[in-house]
Amino acid sequence: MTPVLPAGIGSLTFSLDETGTPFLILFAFLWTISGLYAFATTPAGERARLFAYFVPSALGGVTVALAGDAISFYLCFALMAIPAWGLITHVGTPEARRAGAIYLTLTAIGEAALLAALVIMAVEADSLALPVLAEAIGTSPLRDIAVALLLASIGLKIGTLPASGFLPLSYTYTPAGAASALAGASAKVGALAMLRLLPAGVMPEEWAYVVMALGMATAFLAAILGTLTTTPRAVLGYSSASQMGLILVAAGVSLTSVEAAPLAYGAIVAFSLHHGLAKSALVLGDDVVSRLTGSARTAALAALALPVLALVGAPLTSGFVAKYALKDAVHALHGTVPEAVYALLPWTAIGTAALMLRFFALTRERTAETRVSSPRIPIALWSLVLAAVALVVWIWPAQWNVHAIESALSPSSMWTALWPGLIAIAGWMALRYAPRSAQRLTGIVPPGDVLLGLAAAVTAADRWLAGRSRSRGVTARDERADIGHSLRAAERSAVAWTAASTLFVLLVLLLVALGTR
Amino acid sequence: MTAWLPMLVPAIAGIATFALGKSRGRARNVVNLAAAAISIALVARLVVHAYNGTVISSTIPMLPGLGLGMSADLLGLLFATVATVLWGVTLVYAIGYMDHATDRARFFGFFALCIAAANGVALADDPLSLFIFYEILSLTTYPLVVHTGTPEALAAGRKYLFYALGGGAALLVGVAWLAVIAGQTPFTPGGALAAVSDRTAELRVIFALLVAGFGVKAALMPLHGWLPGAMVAPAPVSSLLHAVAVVKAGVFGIIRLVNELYGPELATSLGVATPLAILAAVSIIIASVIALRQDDFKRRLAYSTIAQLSYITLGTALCSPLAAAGALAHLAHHAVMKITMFFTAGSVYETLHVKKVSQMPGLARRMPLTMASFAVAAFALAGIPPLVGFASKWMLGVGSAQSGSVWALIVYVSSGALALGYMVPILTSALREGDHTPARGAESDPRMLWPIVTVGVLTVVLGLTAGLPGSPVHWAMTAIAPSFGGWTP
Repeated sequence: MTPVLPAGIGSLTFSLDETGTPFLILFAFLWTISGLYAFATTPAGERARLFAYFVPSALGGVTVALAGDAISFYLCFALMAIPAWGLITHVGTPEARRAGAIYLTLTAIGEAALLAALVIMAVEADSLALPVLAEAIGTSPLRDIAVALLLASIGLKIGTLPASGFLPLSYTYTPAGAASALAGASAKVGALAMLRLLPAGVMPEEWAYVVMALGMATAFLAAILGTLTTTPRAVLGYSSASQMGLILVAAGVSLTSVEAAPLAYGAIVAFSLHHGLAKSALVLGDDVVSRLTGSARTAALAALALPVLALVGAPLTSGFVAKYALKDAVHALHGTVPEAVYALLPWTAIGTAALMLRFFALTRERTAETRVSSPRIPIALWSLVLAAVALVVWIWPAQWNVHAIESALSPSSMWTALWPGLIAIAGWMALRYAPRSAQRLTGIVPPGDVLLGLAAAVTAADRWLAGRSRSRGVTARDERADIGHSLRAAERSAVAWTAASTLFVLLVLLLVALGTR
Repeated sequence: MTAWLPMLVPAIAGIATFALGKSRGRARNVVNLAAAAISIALVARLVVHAYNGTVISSTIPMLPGLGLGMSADLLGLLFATVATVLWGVTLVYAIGYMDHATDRARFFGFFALCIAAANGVALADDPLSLFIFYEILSLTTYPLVVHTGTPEALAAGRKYLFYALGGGAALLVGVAWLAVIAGQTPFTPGGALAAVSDRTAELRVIFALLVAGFGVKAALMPLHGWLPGAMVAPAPVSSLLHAVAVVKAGVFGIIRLVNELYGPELATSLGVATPLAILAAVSIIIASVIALRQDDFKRRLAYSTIAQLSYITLGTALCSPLAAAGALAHLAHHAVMKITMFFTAGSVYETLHVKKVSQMPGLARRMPLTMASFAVAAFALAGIPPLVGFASKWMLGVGSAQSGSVWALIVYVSSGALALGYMVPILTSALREGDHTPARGAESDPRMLWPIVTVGVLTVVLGLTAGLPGSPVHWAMTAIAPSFGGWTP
């Protein structure tokens, strides 16, 4: 029993292993660069307020790669996610606050699901060590509920449908430096959780199929939503949701097949490295462009092409390697669903390409803002990330890039990587000649999509219930107009009867019973 | 006789406070603080004895065949320690808070008597003794609830008395009935009713009566109505009610009842544990949802208390060793977290007359240390590691899963998410820019500030040391183990 006891800080374990290393390097690099960027670009008076949230978030965001047991993992996960709320609401506008509220609600739900899953796994494994947890849950009668809770928590973290608005909401209003950390590192903790916690090769095929289908659906739908959204940052958010959908496909593969699991894990790592760096480069690049004018601006826009091409998966970029690894993993499974997914995978690149075109167009349209701070430091930091985008996946020693490099130069794989981009460009051109009504569709999706609707619905229901209870003559003195109010009204009448009458009726009956014994 | 002292010393201090009268404030403070210090030392001594395996107990004959017994076992001492230590902290705070208040002699006198009664409840050796101190606790708390004398306070006091006496009556019937069928039954780990376990129908009804009696103070829904009303009392009283003594006497009663009167085995076989668990689970969720949207600061905290007390009841009712130990540890942990919060509520009211969450913008700048302590306690309450609330929540969750009650685990984690939902808006409101102009120097009376910081730091320290011997977690496991036979933590 001892292993599952609660731990004080002394018994938290942190260790570096093969799985954690790439994530540690990615997280440490991105949080550091983002932190420096945020420091350089935030007015001195606001720094303390921003970094009060940034520092704990970064601390959790980096050490999560080292967490070796259930409790330290949960601690780091929470430490990163909860203070990030302060980064999202930093600007203090009503939209940012609303985004923060939705973010916090979903984060709280995700954390609760994660904690429940960890508790079940710890009990079944009779241990807290992460490697033991994932293995033990595979043979447990509580396997399905634990995996469902894990998937719910991971799905929320990476913005899987129907929560595809989660990531756009978390970057859109956040200051650029902090947004780059959230975009590059934060959602990748979900990928890390897949590797650390999901059991490999033990789930029925149907589970894997549902997860893969959900991942594909997210990849396509988020791309459509993103193409129709309003700001460059929101486009990037949807692009992240779409790419993380592809990572979820890999997770689906690992759930059901022991043989394919190593390939799927390779794909998850490759995708995390590739996407984390590229997305961070895009967020920073967008901000750098808005600080420049003239030829410098043109040069920066040209440099943005590197992460854009990487995301689309052009040959010889990190995205190419990552997608290659993913295809390999899906290809290892047999059956209708995996084959359909395999066939559809290249098509997701059209969506990505469309998103990138839209992002590029929106960024180019942005009017240069005049700022006091010199953009030299931001440019230097951005260049570092760009260099990492260009290099890291190629120099990373792993099986998947050997395969990819070998095949990269063959004409057929070149073509596979290129045609989706060409289709997207053709579509973009065609849109110029499309009727005005079709063109006006762009910009109809606010960042957050259905989540905003959901939040509005909750508020409306709240008001309606409150209005009803007030019209019944209950005065709302202390309480705000809310659901809680009507609950309280019901509760009050319940209390009045139960507490008073029941107790005394019972007492009288019992005294009688006692007396007649 | 030593087992009686933790009860007698505060009682004597209370009587001395009345004797000193209104005018001698300095002497009154000295007497009370000295009594608190002596009580803490006494309890510490008893704890050392109990840890070494000697349980000191003594019985005073009352009626032929009926004795009033006190026994300093680890289970009772945990509650006594919480009550006594937090009494000391609250005294310092109350001296600052009540600086300009009237009738301070009455206030401090009854306060000391309450602690005496709470220690009596903690160390009482059998149901009858426990009942007597439980009733004394009800009566001595009443003057504190109505202390301000406003119509609102008097109404709240009436409500409190009505609930408390109703519960007391149920308790009396239960205790008497039990005495009729089983004679005197000193609390025994694992259950004291083996001899009469075949009288299932009667035992079930008695269990319901005792739960109704303890449930009033434990604010188990639907018996909780008095608690949100009683928040009109001054802040130190709220701390006493919510954290130190009163509500804890209720859940402590349930812990004794399930683990040491019926015993987990009998409670399970009679089928009375599950309904209690369900009642507690429903209380947790409903109270948390109601807490979400209370604008009145203390009222929001009150609903949070109702939910957190049901954590303890649910953990106890699951009849699984780790959950039961988690419940007992949570009794101590929740006390530390909630006292931080009520101190904060009192401090912002007394300093700036802020009563509502919506009036808080600017508070974080105006009272940074106070609000930082509050923030720590709030995150602890939501169960964020490595703070104190996480340790007990983890035990409760693991205990639930071990006993096969995954539903209880889901209730715990959902309530954690809801706690984040009702605590974070308080912090965001306080962090917003607002019109409380920063003042130079102290943020509030230092006699209020430092107790807050102390208990705030305690929520961190107890969390960090949860794994060490002597921590409430370790203590609770040692105290609960005998009730579960061969269980070794």
